[in-house]
Amino acid sequence: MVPLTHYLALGAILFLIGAAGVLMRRNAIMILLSIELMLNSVNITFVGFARQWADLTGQVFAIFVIAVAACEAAVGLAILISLNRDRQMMNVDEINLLKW
Amino acid sequence: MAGQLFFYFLALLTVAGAVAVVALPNPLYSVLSLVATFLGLAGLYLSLNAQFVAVVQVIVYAGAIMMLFLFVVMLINLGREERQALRLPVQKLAGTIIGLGVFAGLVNLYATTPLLTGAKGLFPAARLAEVGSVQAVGRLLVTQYVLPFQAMAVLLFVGIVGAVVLARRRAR
Amino acid sequence: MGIAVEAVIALVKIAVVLGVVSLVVAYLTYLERKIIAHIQQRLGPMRVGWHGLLQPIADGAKLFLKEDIIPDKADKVVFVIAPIMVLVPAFVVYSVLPFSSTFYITQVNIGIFFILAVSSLGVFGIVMAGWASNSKYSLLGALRSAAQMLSYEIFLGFSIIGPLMLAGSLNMQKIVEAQSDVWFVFYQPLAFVVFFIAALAETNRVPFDLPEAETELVAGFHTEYSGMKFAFFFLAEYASIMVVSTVAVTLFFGGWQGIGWIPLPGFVWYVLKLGAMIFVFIWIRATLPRYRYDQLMRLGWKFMFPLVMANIFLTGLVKFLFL
Repeated sequence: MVPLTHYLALGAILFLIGAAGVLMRRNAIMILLSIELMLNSVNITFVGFARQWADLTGQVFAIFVIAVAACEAAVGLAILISLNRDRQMMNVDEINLLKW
Repeated sequence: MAGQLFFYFLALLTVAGAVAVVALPNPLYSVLSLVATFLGLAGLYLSLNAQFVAVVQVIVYAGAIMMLFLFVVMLINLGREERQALRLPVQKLAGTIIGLGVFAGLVNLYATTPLLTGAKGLFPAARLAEVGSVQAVGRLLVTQYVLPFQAMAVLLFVGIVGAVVLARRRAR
Repeated sequence: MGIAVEAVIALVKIAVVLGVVSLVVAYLTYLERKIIAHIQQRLGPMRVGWHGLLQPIADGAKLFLKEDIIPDKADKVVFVIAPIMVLVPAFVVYSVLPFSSTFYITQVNIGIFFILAVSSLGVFGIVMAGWASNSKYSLLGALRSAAQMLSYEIFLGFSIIGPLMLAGSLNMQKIVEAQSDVWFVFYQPLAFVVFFIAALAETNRVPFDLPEAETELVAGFHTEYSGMKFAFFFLAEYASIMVVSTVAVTLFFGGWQGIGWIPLPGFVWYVLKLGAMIFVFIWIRATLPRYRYDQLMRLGWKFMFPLVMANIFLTGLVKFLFL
């Protein structure tokens, strides 16, 4: 059986890659994708602990995280589409006005 | 032994996919790499006796959410992302240092904290195989966690309405 | 029994299923041409072999030998991966289908969920193909296909919940065993209607073949494909028709269970039911015109979605009150 720490390390690596993506990419879609990566790193940690402690709470929460991610993706992409329609841009650095 | 090989293969796939997501210039390639990552993760969930989470991962994450991303990338036709200069010059360096620091901290935490102690719950692998992961998780969702479950329904509804309102073409 | 022996047995089973399925899928194309021809008062393929029986083999040889064209402006990598991404999920699903009470590759306790999950990946190949071709017809086909398959997957998923509630299991074998007295189609007619319509849409069949509507989009997502890559799309379409027919037979028509008094082996029953199901698919293709895009979405979200929700509610109510 693969020890829990391996799964946790995998989760940490994924979180790190996702965080690096959020910080270094300026395309809004890329940032959303990186956030998905970070949410998944949390999931693998949850499910790993669920096995470790023989308690299904971790799995239940993984499902909640997936539902939250679905909402986040839908709303985030809707914002991007309307932004792209109004201003034809995707670079988050250029989006610096609260109102126009 | 077979289990370990399985884990390392899938972990490698997952990490490689994740790196590709962040590193590839074309958003469409990133989306496809993320799908590969999610499939690897689904395999890992199977190895953790979480069949239900694995299936939900594939149906909802890989099947629906990633499809939505792909749809949007194709719709607004992001060809190639021009490599834009980061606004803050030290951003990349700072990001790398902070990220590696956080990673080192996490690994240190995992290495030093006794994770293996703590009371065992009701569902060791044998019991889970007997009940079935779907039944066990489903029962928890509608008994112990029914309130978060309902809150999730409300959240999803708000998400639907929000997405429709935001993406609707405004009449001018 | 050693692990090696089990592995060999599993491999042999996989090889047998893969071979038989590929052959059957190839002959499905012949069957479709022949049936549609007769419905339209034609003869269909007659030249190659007796009544054109060798036609699929000739077609296969032709496609295999054809020049494999990759358009200049296409995205080469995605263009090559896309047909594989369509074909692989369509065939992976066969690993959990119960062909008879004893013959199957593997049993998983999340059987039907596994099928849903794997087949939901097929749409990626179609969308990738449409995007990678870098042609407006392909892209339009891919966009339509993405919206259509995402929507109808929901109805497909919800429509199988009714039978699953009755069976109380996700295991394909147990679902079949639960129907030893009455087939679920009699308990769940609404669910079956919705399942069948959604299955037509998921497999891109007439009247929902918008992604490849030949009269407006040339051939939709596979306009730019030729040779073996085209054959992959073709095979995948028929393989997924077999899959949804099998799921329909398993969930609604009692799988390999026969009708009481007629003594036939389970596998024969299975093949008979499957054949009838596939015939209906072909029959519909010869009969119905194509839906328009907005009609497709209206049918789905305003008619089928409430229907399938009502079905789940009714099933739950009846089960709670009477069982």
